[in-house]
Amino acid sequence: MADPVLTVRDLHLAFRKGRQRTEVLHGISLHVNAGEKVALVGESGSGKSVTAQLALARLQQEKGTEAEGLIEVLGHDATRSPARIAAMRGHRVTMIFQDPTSALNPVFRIGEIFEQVLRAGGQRLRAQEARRRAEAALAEVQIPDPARALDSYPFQLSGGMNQRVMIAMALANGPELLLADEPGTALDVTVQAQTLRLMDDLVTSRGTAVLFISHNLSVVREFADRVYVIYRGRIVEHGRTEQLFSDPRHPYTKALLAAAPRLLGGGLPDLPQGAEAFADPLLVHDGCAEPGEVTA
Amino acid sequence: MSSKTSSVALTEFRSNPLSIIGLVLVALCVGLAVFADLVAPYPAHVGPIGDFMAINQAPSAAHWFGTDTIGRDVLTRILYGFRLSLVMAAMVLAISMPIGVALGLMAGYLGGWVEFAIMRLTDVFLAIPPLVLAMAIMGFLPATLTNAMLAVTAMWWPWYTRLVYNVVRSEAREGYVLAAEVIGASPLHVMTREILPNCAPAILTKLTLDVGFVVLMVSSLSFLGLGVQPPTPDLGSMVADGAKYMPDAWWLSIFPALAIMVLVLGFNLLGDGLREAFDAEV
Amino acid sequence: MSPILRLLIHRLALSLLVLAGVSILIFFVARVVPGDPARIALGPNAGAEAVEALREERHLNDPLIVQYGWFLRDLAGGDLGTSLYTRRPVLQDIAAYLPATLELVFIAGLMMVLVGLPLGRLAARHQRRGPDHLARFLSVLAVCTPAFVWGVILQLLLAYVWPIFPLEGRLSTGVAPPPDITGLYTVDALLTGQFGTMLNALYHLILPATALALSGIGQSARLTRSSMIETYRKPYIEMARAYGFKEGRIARRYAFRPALIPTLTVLGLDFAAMLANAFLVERVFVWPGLSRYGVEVILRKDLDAIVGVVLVIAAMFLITNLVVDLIVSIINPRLRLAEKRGK
Repeated sequence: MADPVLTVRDLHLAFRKGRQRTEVLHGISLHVNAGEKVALVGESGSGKSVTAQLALARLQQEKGTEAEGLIEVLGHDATRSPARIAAMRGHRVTMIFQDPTSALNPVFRIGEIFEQVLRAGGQRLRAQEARRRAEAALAEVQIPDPARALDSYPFQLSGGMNQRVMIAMALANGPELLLADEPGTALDVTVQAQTLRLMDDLVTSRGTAVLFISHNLSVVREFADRVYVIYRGRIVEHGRTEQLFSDPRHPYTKALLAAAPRLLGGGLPDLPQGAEAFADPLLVHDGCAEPGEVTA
Repeated sequence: MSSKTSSVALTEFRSNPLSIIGLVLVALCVGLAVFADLVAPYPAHVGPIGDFMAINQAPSAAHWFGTDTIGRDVLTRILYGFRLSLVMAAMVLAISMPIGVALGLMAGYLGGWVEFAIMRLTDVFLAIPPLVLAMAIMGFLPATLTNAMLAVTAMWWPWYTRLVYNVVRSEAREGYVLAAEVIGASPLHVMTREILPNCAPAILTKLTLDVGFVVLMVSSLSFLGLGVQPPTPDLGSMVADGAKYMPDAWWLSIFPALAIMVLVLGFNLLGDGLREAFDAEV
Repeated sequence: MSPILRLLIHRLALSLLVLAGVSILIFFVARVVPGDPARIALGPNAGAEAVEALREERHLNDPLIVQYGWFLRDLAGGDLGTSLYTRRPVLQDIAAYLPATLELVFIAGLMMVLVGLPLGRLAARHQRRGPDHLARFLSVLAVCTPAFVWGVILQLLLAYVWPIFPLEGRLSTGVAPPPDITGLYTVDALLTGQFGTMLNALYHLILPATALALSGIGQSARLTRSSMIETYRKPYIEMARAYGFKEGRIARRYAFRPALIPTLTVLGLDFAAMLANAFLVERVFVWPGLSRYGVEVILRKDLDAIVGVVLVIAAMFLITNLVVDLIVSIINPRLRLAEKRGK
């Protein structure tokens, strides 16, 4: 088995405001191996997005955040040495967002933002060289006229184009881990599907590991090698994609699958809130143990 | 506004130390102004006559803020100055706010030529710095207290018109307004009963801030000699008169200057606190 | 036609409309007030015939609307009437006094931008921590204090108690004013190579300009702070951080530029407000600017001069806003490239 690029073990997270303390994650464990595509599926508020934030060491420093447990990104502890993680952002670990258009600064040209991305981690780069590399990266995500796209402002491009730009930025520095937080959820369903397929092709051919955070089961099924289902800050089921979809075991997963619309794009269906069975303990499919643990 | 949101606003307001400081300053200034007759050490010094045995005295135990060139107690005159400033601010706002609000409601809700006429007139007023317009009006009128108030009132209403107009424009398409229209409520009813209550937090916040700014404006006019005339105690003219005796009798202008600062600061902090608590756009 | 040009023409037309409105407003206010301007001008001792002659000469016997027509015709010819106080054309008077005011306002505006914006940026970066609380309190204090109070306090502290700066005036006694090119002493001295004079003029400018700028500094710091804080919550800042953009660079450039757009418009208003506050500061520092003239003509009920001063200030106010609109549309590509939208 390849080494994990992301290891999360028994992670707890709570937010404190005044005297109020809200626990968001109740000890989750997950891992992503090099070159592997792993999905983390759950409804909004289940704690999946904060996991990505923690992996980028973006939350730990915030006031009122209490994180406990291990998060290791490319061999560095995100809680103990956040500076190490910060130095990897944008080139060894990158990210793709829900709405590409709002994730790109409206008053800068794509080219200016791209240049900044290519210099992530303090890499020295001349403007000409940056321009050449940006153009090449945009050509790779099948943008018809890369030079013109670089001279445009985000609002001049369509959402789909911006998502391609975002993918190009995410992969331009050859990252080892890509965090995709509900990529393109804000986009048109067909456009979302197109851009996802494009992203899938690119990460597969490059062997980039992906943590894919989503609430959309059908998208996950197409894309991921392995799936974690998260419910209210707890991982409830973990298995390879085909295992999980052919033989869902946890009541929550079953409910999700039973209610999932067959067509592409339906988000999470409305489930009976807080059904007792959903709190059942974690179910792990064969051969899917966390590294260092004995297979259940 | 439901009781729940106002209790949230109250909690928000209380958690901000600056708002509390503002509230305390405002209470202090208003209290001193109301009870000036009781608090002031030398109430007789309001008029033109002071204690000629004690002229130009530096601050002392008997005269905390010193005395002026004709022996009047500066502290006493500052306290009465508070009263005058607050009364003037209250009157200016009591007249200009309703006018501005009414025009803003009409412009925003009725639309058409009414909107055009009112908003263009507002633009014209807002194109001249308030102080300059007030000064110009004072140029055509005798410099008296009433005229100074009229001049400030004449240029203050457009701010309320614009504020209410913007709120109305964003509210007019809200469901509750449409609902009222569908059941056949009259425009007057919709404006005063449906829309106006939703402007209330913004208006209240602006009023609080404006007490400070009107005081500022009035004292600026007096400072230039275009407002309140002696011997009426006014903070602005006290600063101007005192400046002639700088630096030897520094207390003559510094204390009234600080008094203006405290008064305006109090209302500003309070207004800011309300703005954050109500989340009002002002 | 480029979108910026179109926007500019639109705004210019609007401004002219507003200026016409201001002229009507101020003209009628000046004419409907009690008192006969001719009588006031000539004083109580003048004979009835002299008053009547002046009324005839100034068209004061015509209906108001006709009077306004005369006024507009003169205005079109660059004639704002004659001051009854200086007996010179109002325009000539204003041209003589305005540069001193402009110089003061420009320096104060520069201070507002150079101090206020970085201060607000600093406060936003340290939101709800020490520097932020301090900056907020100081800016509220600055906003709440009238310019003349700052003037008096600064003068007391830095000209009397510690005589670091000159007390009043534009130049030290014995220093000759530079040749009149723009009327701005610093610029004229620089143009003619009189560096000593330039430094002297600048030295005299510091205290009054600071007094004038303080409330603007507070206001701009406050605005920049809240605008920056709002921008910091935007997804593109999250993106910048996720891609390892340096925090300092985000504050100086990446978050600052979008935050500047809403701030600038209000800054324009603040700058324009300085034109009015200059009246107060000029009085404290005995600055020979428009204020001295304005207060003088107001006290003397010099109608033509009052109308002239108000019109000129309104015009400068509108020009300022026009310039700000132009800057905003340059910074904001959405406005600049509006026509390409939806391609």
